[in-house]
Amino acid sequence: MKTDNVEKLLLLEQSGELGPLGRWRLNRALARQPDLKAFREDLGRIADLSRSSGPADAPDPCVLGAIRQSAAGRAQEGFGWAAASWLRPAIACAAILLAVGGIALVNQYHPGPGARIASHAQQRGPGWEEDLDAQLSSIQSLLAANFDASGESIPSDPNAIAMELLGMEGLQQ
Amino acid sequence: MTGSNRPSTDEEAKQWLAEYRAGRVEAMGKLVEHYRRPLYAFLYKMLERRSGDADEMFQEVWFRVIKNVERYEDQSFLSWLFRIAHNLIIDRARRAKPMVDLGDGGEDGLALEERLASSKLGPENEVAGRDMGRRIAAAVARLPPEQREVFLMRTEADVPFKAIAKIQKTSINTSLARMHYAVLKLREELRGDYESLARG
Repeated sequence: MKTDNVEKLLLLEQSGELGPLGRWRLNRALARQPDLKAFREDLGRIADLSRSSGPADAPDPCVLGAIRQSAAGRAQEGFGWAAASWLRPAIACAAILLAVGGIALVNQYHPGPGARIASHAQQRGPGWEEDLDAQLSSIQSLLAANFDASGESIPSDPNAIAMELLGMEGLQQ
Repeated sequence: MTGSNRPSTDEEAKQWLAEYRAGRVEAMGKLVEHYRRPLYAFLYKMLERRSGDADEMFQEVWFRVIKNVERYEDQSFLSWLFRIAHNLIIDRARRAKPMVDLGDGGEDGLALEERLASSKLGPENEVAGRDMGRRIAAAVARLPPEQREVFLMRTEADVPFKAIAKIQKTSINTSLARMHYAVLKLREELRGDYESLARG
């Protein structure tokens, strides 16, 4: 491993952000390049020296007083949203429920191509759903690239994909 | 980098913040005291060791915390605190030179904040004799601001690289590289000093 990379691993080790694999790699590298241990020692020494360079005392007591005063004033005003901290998640839940309910209602009256595929799948018997999953899966993986080999854009809308599948099966109305 | 002054854990901070939001003002006092030393040392060294500026900035950071306390969500308090400090330092640098282009950089290719913050120490703060503290302070002050910021966040407050990357809006690899360059530069500048220290 390059010296720079080992030194970066040493930095991560000191910050406590090195995972088990990184530790293993670091130990192996240190065993091969023992002089890198000097970097680890210097790192600690430089940090200690920097910390010891002050400031000796701070901040000014007036500053701490002003902060205390501000904190007291803010607390006196009260924390509206904090007091009703349950309200935000509750609103989010209600919005999700409304959206799901709305979609279900629309689908009941206007079944999309997806529903038609499902109904056709029932007529075709077992095996169809697996094929469908495989086709959808391959389309989705193609979507990751967003374009096919000819450079033609592939639709990302699930309904458009379903229409294509229906077309392939000759079921498109 | 495990100074005795480093905050133990964010859990206590979150607890105090929750108590403060419940109306217990003394909890904010505990929070300020807990982060007093690392935050002040960071600001003092970022602001060229001018205690007046560091005092002012320290106060402003806590005023922002108090003002936005309701917006605080379940994240690391240490990261939130230092993000506020970082933003205030940038704002201050921008205010200091309003006529300078805030774009990609000036003739020297450096961003505004970089040009401002990388200014040299005043003569009163220049290295004197063999005073190790002063020597390292001067060497840290000479670091480019991004590197200095990473170095000080790590050494003074033990902010993790992941959090530093978020604060500086960069990748973890970049924040690691900044720290790495900083350490290499300081190592080079102080080589004679810490070799004698290691011997003695």
